[in-house]
Parts: sequence; structure tokens; C-alpha cells
Amino acid sequence: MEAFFQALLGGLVLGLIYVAIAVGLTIIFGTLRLVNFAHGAFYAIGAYVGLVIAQHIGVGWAFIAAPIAVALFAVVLDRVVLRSFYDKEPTAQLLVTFGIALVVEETLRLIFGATTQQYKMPEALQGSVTLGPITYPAYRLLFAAGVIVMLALVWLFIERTTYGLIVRAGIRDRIMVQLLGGNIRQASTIVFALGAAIAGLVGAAATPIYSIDPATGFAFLVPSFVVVVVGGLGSFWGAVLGGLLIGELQSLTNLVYAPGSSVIIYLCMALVLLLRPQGLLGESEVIRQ
Amino acid sequence: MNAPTTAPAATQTRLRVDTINTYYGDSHVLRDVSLHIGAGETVALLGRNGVGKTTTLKSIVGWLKPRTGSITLDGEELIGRDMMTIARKGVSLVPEERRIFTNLTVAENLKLAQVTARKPGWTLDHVYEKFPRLRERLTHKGDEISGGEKQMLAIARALLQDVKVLLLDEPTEGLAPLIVREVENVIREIKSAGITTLLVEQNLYSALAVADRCYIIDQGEIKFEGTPAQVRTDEDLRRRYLHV
Repeated sequence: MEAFFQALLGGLVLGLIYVAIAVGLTIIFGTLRLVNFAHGAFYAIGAYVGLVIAQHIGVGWAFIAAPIAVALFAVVLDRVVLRSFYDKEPTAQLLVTFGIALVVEETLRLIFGATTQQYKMPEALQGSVTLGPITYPAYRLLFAAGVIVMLALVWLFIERTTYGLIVRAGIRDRIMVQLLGGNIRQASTIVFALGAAIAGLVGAAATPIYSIDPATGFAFLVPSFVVVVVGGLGSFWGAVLGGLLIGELQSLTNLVYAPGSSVIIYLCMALVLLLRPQGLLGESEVIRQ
Repeated sequence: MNAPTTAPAATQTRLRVDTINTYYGDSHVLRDVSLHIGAGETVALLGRNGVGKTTTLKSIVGWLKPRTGSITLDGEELIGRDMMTIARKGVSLVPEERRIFTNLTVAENLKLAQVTARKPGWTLDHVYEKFPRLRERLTHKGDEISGGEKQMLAIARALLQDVKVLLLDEPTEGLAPLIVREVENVIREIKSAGITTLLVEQNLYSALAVADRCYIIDQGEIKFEGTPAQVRTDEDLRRRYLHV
């Protein structure tokens, strides 16, 4: 029973990482119609920036520097490369973002080497917490709480701010936003930077839990795409539901039959695509667009 | 902005479209189209389906880029500007499909129009006074309201901005006769508020009832410019270009 609860909490932590990456992916896709295979690279860059800062300056600074550095990188990438691909076919977007992801991965390999790395948390956060029948690492719980708070802030941004209103309208109809005088480009840049910053922050914060190597970006990107498809393209709550579902499925399957844990998520995706092609909380209108 | 009770005289040209040629790929859709609208005028652009009416509106708002010609608003060139800039200069399109944000509530649709406006237009109170049904539907999502309410909302969104020229594309299309009359009343209100309007309509009698002048377009070319009275009395003109 203890193992079950351990797996359940492990699934929650893993799922929240997927949620954080998928939320960025889904709002970027929703607003920009950009299939961004470089999104995993944002996670990896954040993780390495966090690693360097944590080792040389301090863990607290890592959590500040990583999202800022990744957001800046994303804005430059958006302005220099991606903007000219917004109106292109998904295949062209996929190829260019996949290429960017490969360039980032190889650059990280050149700088940091191919070995896995991890930084240690300060002693204060290294303890465990007893929750009924199980003992669980305090940092993992803190991480989960932090991601939940961050997602709440993102939700508030999308639902309660003027930019969020433009973003939500842009998800449905970019042309009409412009016909009303809305600055969709500015909103898109903010959304892109925000999505990247979230991935970068989670990358930095998750490194004490999951060690990193240059291929880390892809390792988290692929399940996060599954999450977006399962939850529904362009849907914030779809990403949340999909992420938690996929995280728990993976973790619980790992408990029962470890080799099946990476297969189960694709089976889940296939099932959702067969029964509800727009995803669990997605809308068919977004798919048509 | 409070609505004046009478329309100002059409003394100066507000919008001028001068020999524009617009293409869809290789297909030449608008051929040397020219028209002008004076400040405070309501002008109807008439024609059958697929003759270039909507393309003319899309060319004006920057949705499509004419290859040649000129479009000016109060003398300022619009061609080459993007949709956002043209909208912020005061050219507002109410598209044929209404394009209500169905994932937003009626209140959010209205708020969006307010926050994206460079300068405020009508106040919300003024909008609710003219469109009382919208006030009752504020919390409904865009896909939970009727076709007539969507049209009211689309027009209200445009009026919340500082509109210099309002472009209405088939505002009565697909609406029940009772709702058509409501929309016609709204267009009369807009006219009496002195808002310069270019009205694209297939509903000939609806358009002639409110227009000061009208143009007829056929196969991408302007074939007629005159008064509603001329269109009403010229049966040959109507049969040739409007099929009525």
C-alpha cells in the first residue's frame, strides 16, 4: 500500500512537470498556431542555467535566472526565426522547431558534456515529510506546491488580465482580434516568452529530482505533446487534466509493470484520439482552425 | 462618445477607394474599383453573390492587399498598413460571419473591443441602451446567443471603438424577418448618429431604405453609382446586375 501511495505522489510530481510544459505548448499553439518542437529545449536550457547558477551562486537565484534567461532566448528565437513560420504549414513549423531543438541539444552537449548532472538542494530542503503511512521527500512536495501556485498565476494571467483576454480571443480568431485593433503580435510574444519561462523555471526546479543530460528536453517534450493531445489543443484545463492523467498513468504502470510505463501513455493517446479527437477538454472548433 | 441626434452633412470625403486591383492568388477579383464615402454618409455596395463586395471590404481593412490603387482615410493612405493599424485609425469591419469569440462571454467580447480601441467610442451604457438584449446576455458565451444577438454584439463591438468608418458586411444575412427589422433599426440608429457607413447587402430593399447613395458591383467592377431612387426605378439595372 505504501508503494502505491509513493507511486501516486510520484505521478503527481511527474504529472505537474508535464502540465507545466504542456500549458506553455498549448497556449503557444492556441495563440500562434505554432507546433513548437523546440519547447523541450526551453526546459533543458532552464535546467542547465539553473544547474550553473545553483552551483555557483545559489539555488534561490537559479529559480530567478532560469525563467528570465529562457524567456529572453525565446523572444530572440521568436523574432529572428519563428515569426516567419507562423503562417506556414505545420510540417515546416515542425521541421524548423525540431531543428532548433537539435541545435540546442548539441550545443548543451558541447558545453556541458553528455553525462547526467544534478544539483543538490540546501540541507533545509533535503528532509522528508511523513504523510500517514508514507514518508516522502520534502522538496518534491514543495516542488508540487510551487508548480500548482505557478499554474494558478498563469491561469489568473489568462483569465483576469487584458493581455489574457487578447490571448484567449486570439486562440479563437486572430484575424478578428486584429480587426478590433488588438496587438496580436505583442500578445503572441508575451505568450511565447511566458510559455518558455514556465518550462525554464520547471526545468531548473526539477533538476534536483530528475537528473539532466542534453537530451532531457526531448525526454519531457514527447510526453508533454501527448498531454496536449489528450487534454485538447489550446485548452489550459485540458493540459492540467491531461498532464495529471499521463503522469499518474506512467507512475502507476511503472509500479505494476515497469516496461509498460512508456507505452501506456501512447495507448491512452490513441484511445482519446479514437473516442474524442479534440481531446478530453478540447473543442472541435480549434481542431478545424 | 455621445451620439449626435442628426447626421452631419456629407461635406468631405472620409474614405476614398481609388482604382484598386485585388487578387486571390492569380485570380483577378477587383478590377479598378473606385468609390468614395463622405463624412456622415451611408453608402450601400450592392451586387450578387461572389462579385467582389466582401473583397472590397477586406481590401479596405488590410485583410487583403490590393496590388495597385489607393485607399485613403481622411487623405491618409491605408494600403500597406496592417489590419491592427487600420482598425486603430477608425475603420471598423463587422464581418459577414460576425466572428464572435465563442469562447468568451458577451461581456468579455465587449470588453475586448474596449481594451483594443485606440480611443473609446460609445460607452457601455450607450451600447446597452441601443442593444438592451445584450445586457441580458452578458454572462452567456458567444456560442450561446442567437444569430440576431450575435449581429448586435458584432455591431456593438465596432461601436465601442472610435469609429470613423463602419463597414457592415451583409448584416441581415441569415436572420429571421423580425430580427432583420431590428437590425435595420440599428443601422438607422447608426446613420442618425452620424457614423460614416459602407453597407454591403444582398437584401436590396433593406439597403435602399437606409442608404444615401449606392454603388453596384459586378464581376469585380463598379457598374453603377447613383441614388437609391435611381435603383428603385431602373428595372433594367436591377435585372442586369442584381437579378431582381
